[in-house]
Amino acid sequence: MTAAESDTAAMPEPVAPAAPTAPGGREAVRAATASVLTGLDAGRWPSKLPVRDRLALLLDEDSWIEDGLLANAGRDDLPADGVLTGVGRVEGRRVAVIAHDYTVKAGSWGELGCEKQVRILERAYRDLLPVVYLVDSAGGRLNDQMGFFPGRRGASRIFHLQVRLSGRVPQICCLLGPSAAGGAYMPAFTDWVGMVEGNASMYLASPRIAEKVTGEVTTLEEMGGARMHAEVSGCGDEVFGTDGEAIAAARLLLGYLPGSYRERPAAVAASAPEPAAWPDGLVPEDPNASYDVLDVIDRIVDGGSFFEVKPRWATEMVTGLARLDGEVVGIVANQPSVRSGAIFVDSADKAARFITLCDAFNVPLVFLQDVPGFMVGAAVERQGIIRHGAKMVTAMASAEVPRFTVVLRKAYAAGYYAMCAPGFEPRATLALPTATIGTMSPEASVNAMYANRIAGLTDAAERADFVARRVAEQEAEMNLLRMGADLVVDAVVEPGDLRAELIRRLADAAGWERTRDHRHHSVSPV
Amino acid sequence: MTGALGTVFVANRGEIAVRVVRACRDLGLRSVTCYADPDAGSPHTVLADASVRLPGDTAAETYLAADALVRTALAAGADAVHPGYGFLAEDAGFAERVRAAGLVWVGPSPDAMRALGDKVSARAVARAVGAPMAAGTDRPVTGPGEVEAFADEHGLPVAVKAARGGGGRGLRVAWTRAEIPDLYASAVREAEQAFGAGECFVERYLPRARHVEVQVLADDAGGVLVLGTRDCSVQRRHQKLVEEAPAPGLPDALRTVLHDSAVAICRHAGYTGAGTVEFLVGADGTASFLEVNTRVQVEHPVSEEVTGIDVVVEQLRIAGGARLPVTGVHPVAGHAVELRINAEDPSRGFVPSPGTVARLRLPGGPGVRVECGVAEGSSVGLGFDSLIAKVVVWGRDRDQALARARRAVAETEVEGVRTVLPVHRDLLRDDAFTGPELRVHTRWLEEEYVPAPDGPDVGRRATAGVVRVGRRRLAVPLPGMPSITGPAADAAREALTGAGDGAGGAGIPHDLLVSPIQGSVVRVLVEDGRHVGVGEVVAVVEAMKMENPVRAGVAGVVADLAVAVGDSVAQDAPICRLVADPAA
Repeated sequence: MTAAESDTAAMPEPVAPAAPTAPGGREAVRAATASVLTGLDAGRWPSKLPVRDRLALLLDEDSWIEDGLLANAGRDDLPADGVLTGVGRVEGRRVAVIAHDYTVKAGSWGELGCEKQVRILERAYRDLLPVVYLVDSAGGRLNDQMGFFPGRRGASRIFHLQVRLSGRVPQICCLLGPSAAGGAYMPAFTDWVGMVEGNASMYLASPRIAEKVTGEVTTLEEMGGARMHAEVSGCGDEVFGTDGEAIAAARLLLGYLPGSYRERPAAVAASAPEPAAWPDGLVPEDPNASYDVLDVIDRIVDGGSFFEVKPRWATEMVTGLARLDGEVVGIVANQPSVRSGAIFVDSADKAARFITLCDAFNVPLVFLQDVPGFMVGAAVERQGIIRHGAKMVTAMASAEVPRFTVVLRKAYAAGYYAMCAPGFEPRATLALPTATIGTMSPEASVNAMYANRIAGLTDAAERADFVARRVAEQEAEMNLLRMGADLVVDAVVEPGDLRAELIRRLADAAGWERTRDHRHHSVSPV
Repeated sequence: MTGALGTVFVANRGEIAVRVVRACRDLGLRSVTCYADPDAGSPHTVLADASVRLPGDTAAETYLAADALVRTALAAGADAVHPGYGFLAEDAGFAERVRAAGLVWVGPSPDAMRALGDKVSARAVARAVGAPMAAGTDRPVTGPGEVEAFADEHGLPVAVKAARGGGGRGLRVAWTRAEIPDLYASAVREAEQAFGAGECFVERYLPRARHVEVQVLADDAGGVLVLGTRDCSVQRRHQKLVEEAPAPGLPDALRTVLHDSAVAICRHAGYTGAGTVEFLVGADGTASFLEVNTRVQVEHPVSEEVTGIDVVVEQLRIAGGARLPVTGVHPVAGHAVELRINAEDPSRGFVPSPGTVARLRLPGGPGVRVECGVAEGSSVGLGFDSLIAKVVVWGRDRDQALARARRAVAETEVEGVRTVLPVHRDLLRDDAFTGPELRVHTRWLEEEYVPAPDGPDVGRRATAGVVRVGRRRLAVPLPGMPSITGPAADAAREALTGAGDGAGGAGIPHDLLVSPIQGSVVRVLVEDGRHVGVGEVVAVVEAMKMENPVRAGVAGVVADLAVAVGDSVAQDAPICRLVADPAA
């Protein structure tokens, strides 16, 4: 763990405990408890909710059971040692909570604060409780270095437990302030990070330290702000205007996930899609035409249920949780209106990560294919598009939850494979009437197969005629009826029937079970 | 004063029939209404001097049965027929039959109805008098090629509209050139199915446009009275839900243009009676003539409230040969808002919610007027319009009117059928509607509004919020919200219960437009100095055999255009900049 922001380093000398009438007795405990519950006034921000208000917003009323409230109670300046830990309920379901108090030494981690976090994470592991992190911390408390850094119960133990909890229980993070230096890893090990614009930041070293070490001059917002992480680095999921919105979104997200890997997500009452009608041409016949796949998702899933994950990053791939007739599903969809809907390095990562999340928590997957392939060119090859694509394929092929593939329109090349082609054993491969499947577009494949012939035809009209005839042959080869006749697809579905078809097939797969491979784990092409 | 009129037959039902009955009563005229079997005993049958049963359950057997209606009117001793709105109100053939039977038609002449009722001929009239109009064809197009040529000349997006269409049917919007053939074919197909005629015309489509209309009254002596503007932008499926007068925030010059155009159109067509000239006003202030409604409209009360002119009374007076009491542009006092109370379920895409009105509590108090067509015990069927009542509020300014509207909505209770009241409750708290700058547009309700869950009334412990995730808004219950105080909590509360565009919107508006992908430029739709609106396509980049429209994130004027057709561009290469419009 490297140095944290220095506003925590400049620590005042410890303040002597107030002199109670009977030192450490019942009265002293009462007074200390009242003082901790009141909290510190100094250092409050108008744009941040006090930590206990954050908890009130997150948890069902009167459900909070707190541990270690008296940590460091001898010191007036360190109520609860800057972090609240305990168990509460969200919509009746138990969750473990870590909430940093930014008014206490900027939420920095000291020895006792780390011990509290370690204990609640150990309990979450033992009792299979989802964990909600309300992060607002300047990082390690440098004048307590020996307490939080080198030992067995410090920050390293927190990260160890977070990794062990990953995939065991959902871990949801609201980043309501900074998560600096080593503390920046706390959000990184969670499943979802909602960030408050203007307040949230994540960085390994502050701009000041970066400038000292590398000479780079930058700003906090530029190197670690909420928008940067949601749109560029992909370390965050969504940006919110206020604490309330970020916490509300976390509550909502918990509703889509089960309590642990042992459970399945809870169903709710179904609702009709909004809008429900599927207008002609929503998915254009023309394979080159752009459209917004969100319009398609709206017509498939229950109204108002689509919770998009990483909606601002790698937007040529759309991922999100939704409900289908009340049941939770994960949607992985190509977005033809962004960067041709091609798969890039980041979009492959985005899909791989989302698929892994769904598989960990028993959420069936629906792949909506309209993909021209992985992006081509020197730029993406240098970024390792093959390695990233392989990662997505590995995640997809390893997922044991029921997977359903819908070919909305075009399904070309390795993009078709990565989006769960029939060989990867989806429960079903469905096609809309607009579907075409092939190694590449008919024009492209004719140009590739007959490159020499075409080049040899000097007469322009003759050449055009030759290409047109071969393209027509290719189109005939890739036709819809043939896809059904050759058992490539399991069914061709009219757009207006797609939702009902998916609901029936999802219900049919309800009794699914995992088939364990005899190996420790795959070697991911990370 | 109303000449020969003595008894008026009302060929309609529901609140508008009640409204006509009341106007007759004010003028000392006798009124006779009619009813289909499901409407037996409903207010319009009880309040009229007499009411005649039209045997049948369906509109086709009753309120649309022209011959039966004329026979009934004659048998009832009526000397005039008021058609209300909907049903046969805009059917020139029906007007002719009424006149042929020796009855007075309370409405414009059949010729004027024809001239302004058909969209193509109405556009011709509007063009002839110089009304503002987005580029468009003045006759039906013959095929998709013509639509493409139009798009090439005038730019995208373009709307393909059925000549006989209305209510959004037979309307398609093409955002890219490639989708034109499909959209054209589907518009023609829908127009043929819905209206029996596939003719379509094409015009430039104004994204995020408001619906602004002008209420006009004209008498036989050539007098024309303008009752100001109305804004009816809050719509679902092209059906209005909330209307207000005057239209807020219009520049005076634009308001004058709309008034003058409405008068000129009516004069040109020899129009008499009450009529409405509708316009779209784009986000950039561009106005475009839409259509003329040759009848009284649902939302006429808001104009009445701000002018003191009784539109239905004037319709009857004009039909009786009287002159308008005043002409010209009527001054407007205060602000009025109408909330339509429809029996629809907003959480299910506004599907009609049939049932029996088990309980009905209507609002009252200062500035509140109610037009209601049902009573407790009335049944609301699927066969007829789902409008059961209108709550019209007046205030000395818009803020007072909205405050009164909130009070009126809180007082209103309807049980037995689902209504759109929750939408009104949300809307009246939504900054997009209540804020100093009106940000609603005709697609706002469908694209940006999400209903809050039911029942989060004051006093309940849990508060329901709406949080934006990605480009969608989701409802979420929040237990602690009411008990938390402080400025940050207020901000959160505001964001979670209002519409709060907040930080959750998609993408950052940027004045620099860049290529989204490495590819070739296949179309450039602008040149330096050209004004573009939000969402307008500036150029199209083709890559991976896909067209990628590059849209303006903000409105502005194009500068430093850096690409031409055929150019190869790298990802993030500049396309152009958008600078603030010096004229705005």
